[in-house]
This record gives sequence, structure tokens and C-alpha cells, in this order.
Amino acid sequence: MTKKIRKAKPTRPARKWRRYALRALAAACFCVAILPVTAGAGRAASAASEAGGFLTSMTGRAIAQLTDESLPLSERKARFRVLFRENFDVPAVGRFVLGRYWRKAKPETREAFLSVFEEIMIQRFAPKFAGYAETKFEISRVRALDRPGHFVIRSRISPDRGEAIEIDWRVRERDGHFKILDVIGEGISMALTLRSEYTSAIKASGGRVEGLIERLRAQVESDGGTQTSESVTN
Amino acid sequence: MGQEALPILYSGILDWSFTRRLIVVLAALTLVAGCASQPKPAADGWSGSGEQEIADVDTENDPLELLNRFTFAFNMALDTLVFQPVAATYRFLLPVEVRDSVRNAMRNLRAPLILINDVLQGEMARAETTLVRFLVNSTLGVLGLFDVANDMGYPYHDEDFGQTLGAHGMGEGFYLVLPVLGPSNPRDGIGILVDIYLDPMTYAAEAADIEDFLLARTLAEGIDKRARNIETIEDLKRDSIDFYARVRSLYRQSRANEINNGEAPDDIPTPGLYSFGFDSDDQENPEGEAN
Repeated sequence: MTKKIRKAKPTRPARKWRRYALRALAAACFCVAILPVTAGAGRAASAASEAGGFLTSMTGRAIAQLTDESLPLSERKARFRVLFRENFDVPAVGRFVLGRYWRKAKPETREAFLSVFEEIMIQRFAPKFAGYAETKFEISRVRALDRPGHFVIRSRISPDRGEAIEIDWRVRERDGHFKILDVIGEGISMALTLRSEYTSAIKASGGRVEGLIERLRAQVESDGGTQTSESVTN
Repeated sequence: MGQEALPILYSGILDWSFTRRLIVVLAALTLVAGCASQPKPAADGWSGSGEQEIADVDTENDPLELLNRFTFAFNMALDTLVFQPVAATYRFLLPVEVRDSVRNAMRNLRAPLILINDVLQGEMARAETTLVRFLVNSTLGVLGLFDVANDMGYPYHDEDFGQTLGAHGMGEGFYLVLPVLGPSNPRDGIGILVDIYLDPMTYAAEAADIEDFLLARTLAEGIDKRARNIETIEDLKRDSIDFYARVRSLYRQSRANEINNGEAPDDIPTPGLYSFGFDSDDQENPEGEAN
């Protein structure tokens, strides 16, 4: 019995060497396997934190620049326009909200739509910041989506008065720059809601994007007068 | 006796045979809808290839749009004439503390039904929250007038049978505006009817001989909700260029969000609602526009 075992086992030094070799091999395999993973994870984690940083700095500037009620609304609108252009991917959002009608639209129609769309956004949101100087903005988590460069950032916004709300921001990184694609509250996406409404309006005007543009322009103009009353009631 | 359970609910509005017919019709509609528009395996909505654009044609899932728009206009008129003024008066007359107690009490009366739906969805942690809320608020909270449980870390959440069906994978069918009740779909419409039978309060009210209990509760809930959203709804109306389309989109997204309890599964918002994405510019080719 003992003879057989001895025969089967290699000599002591050889066994030792083999054990080392195996260990080294395993370690090497492990390193090779894990290296790209950890590097990738590291890169993803840093991109995620950059995305969070982008949003924090953007909202910080928005709160600093737009909440002062003593500034005339026109000035706050001008500031909002700068922030909006800088931080929102307006062309991408415009394309998204027009859905399939974007492709059929002529370049000048697209241009006209994007311009009136910007006005609508400014008119809608610029006055909303007034009086919320103490608003706190926290990021609770950043999720990288499967699509490269896309992140969803969950934030908690606690205004001076009223209840705190949770908002998700969909942002995209391109060439090191982040831009916002969508804002989502309680599962309701701004881009999706606008697209639903806009495509429906286009359908109503016989598939013409121009019809939508006319209606949006009319709204920009009619809203100009009620703007002051809105800031009073708020 | 069995058929007497229902008249307490909508005596005067619906009778049993009407309800039964409605169930049959809704069930039939759901079947048809199920065949017609099973939720497609959410092809990732952000890629924007040409095929998905074609799929974009009917993302609103609203084959009865004309009828729906008519019902919607009727509901809006009813709202302007009745509900909005009643809600505004209610808000004007009663202080916020009283209105909060009304809401707390209405929520408490819903708790048994929410509990049942929590359990049916297998959401045991949420079921426990609802159970604790009901026990605490019914006693310490003086018959539900005060939401003591919320301060103890048991916040309110809503459930209904429409959500339960959705949580088990049933699609919405199609968009359907119900008279008076508003935005819905066959799944959620069936949910409303099933909830009547699931709700222990239906039977409790019957045993206590309280007439029109469910109707009264529904009205109180409706007025409270309307009173809390007067400005929001005005804002929405003023902002919209197509209020009907906006409400449709809001309802569909918000139901999808309620069904997954605020946790979007993969991508946000619900996959399938998107059909054509922000990346469409990547594949843009102006030459292809001619068609």
C-alpha cells in the first residue's frame, strides 16, 4: 500500500515546485481576468461621479442665478437661456420629442422648431426658481445605463417651502461633456410627455410640423401677458 | 343576498345587471386588446434604428381616440361645471388641518383593500406597512383622522387591483377614458370593479347598513384630490397645446410607475413607452429623407 502511494507521488521538491507554478498560474489568470474588469469598473465609477458632479454644479449655478426675485424676469430668462443651452442637449431633446416627424422635416423646419421649443422651455421654467434660494440639492445615486455614456442620476430636491421631491436626470457624456437629455419625476418623463403631446398636435395638423410650430408660437405670445400674474400667485 | 352587495355601491348610478354587463364587455375588450397589442419585448427604445421608427406609429396605444376625446371633453365640462367649483369651495371653507384629516380618514378606509392588493402582489414588506398603518391609525390616530403611523416610519402607499394585474404582467390593453372616472384602460377598469368585491369595507358597510358608503367615499376622495391639484391642473391646461394627449401620456406613465412601485426595471421610464431614442442622430442620414 505505502509503496504504491510513494510511487504515485512525485518527490518533495518537485511537488513544491508544481504547487508554486500552479499558484503563480492561478494568480496570473486571476490578474488577467480581473484587470480589465476592475479598470472598467474604475472608469465607470469615475464617469458616474463626474456625471453627479456635473449635475451638482449645474443646479448650484441655477439656484445661485435664478432664485433672486428682485431681478427682473427678463434678466432671469436670459440667464436661464444660457444655462439651458449649456446643460441641455437641446437638439437631441428636440429630435426626440418630434419622434418620427423629425426625419421628414426640412432643415429650416427643424431649426424653427428648436428655436420655439427653447422659448417654450424658458417661458415655462425660468420663473419657477424665484424665491427658492435655500433649495437643497442632493444626489442619491448615479446609475450607468447599458448604453455607453448614458447615466440616470437620482436627486432629492428640498425646496425652501413645500415637500422634498425626487427627480431623475438622464444625462449623456460625449467627448468629456455632459448634457441633460431628460428629466423624470415620479416616473413621468418630460421628453416622453412632450413627444406624446407634440406628435399628437402634428397629427392634428395633418402631419405638418409647421402646424405644431404655429401653435407653440401662439402659446409663447399668449403666455407673455400672463407671465407677471404667474409670478405673483407663486 | 349576494346580489345585494353591489347596490350599496352605486345605487342610483349602476345596478347589478349593468355592472355585470360592463364586466363582460371590459373582459372582452381586454381579450381583444391582449391579442392586438401585447407589450412587445421592449426593444431597447434608445437605439433609433429605422425599424423602431415604424413601430413608433402607434405608441399612444389609443385606438378609440375619437370616442376617448369625446368622453374627455364631457369629463372636462363636468369638471368645470361641478368638480372644480366644489373642490375650490371645499378648500376655501375648510382649514388645511381638517382637509388633511379627511384625506387621512379616506386613506384609512382604503387600507384593508390596499393590504389585500399588497398581499396579492407578494409585496410582504409593503403589506406589513399597510397593516401597521391601519392598526395604528384606527386606534391612536382616532379612527384614521390622524396619520400617526407616518410619523412612526410607516408611510402611505396606494395599491389597487389594476396595479395587481399589472404587477403580474397584464398589459394595459389600450387607453380608455371612462365617463366621470377619467383616464383608464380595460385592465384598470376591471381593477375598479374587482376592488369593489375585494374591499372588506364593502361588506362592512353592508353589515352596518350604511347606504351609499362606497359612493360617498369615492366622492370624498375625488373632491379632496381635486382640491389638492387646482393649481397643478390649471398649469397643465395652460401649458398644453393638446391637453388630451398630455393627460393620456401622464396617466400611462404614472400607472406604469405605480405598478413597478417607483422602481423602473431596466431603463427609465418604462421600456416600450419609448420607441425611438435620443441617439437617433447617430444614424442620421439626410439622403434617406426623400421617401
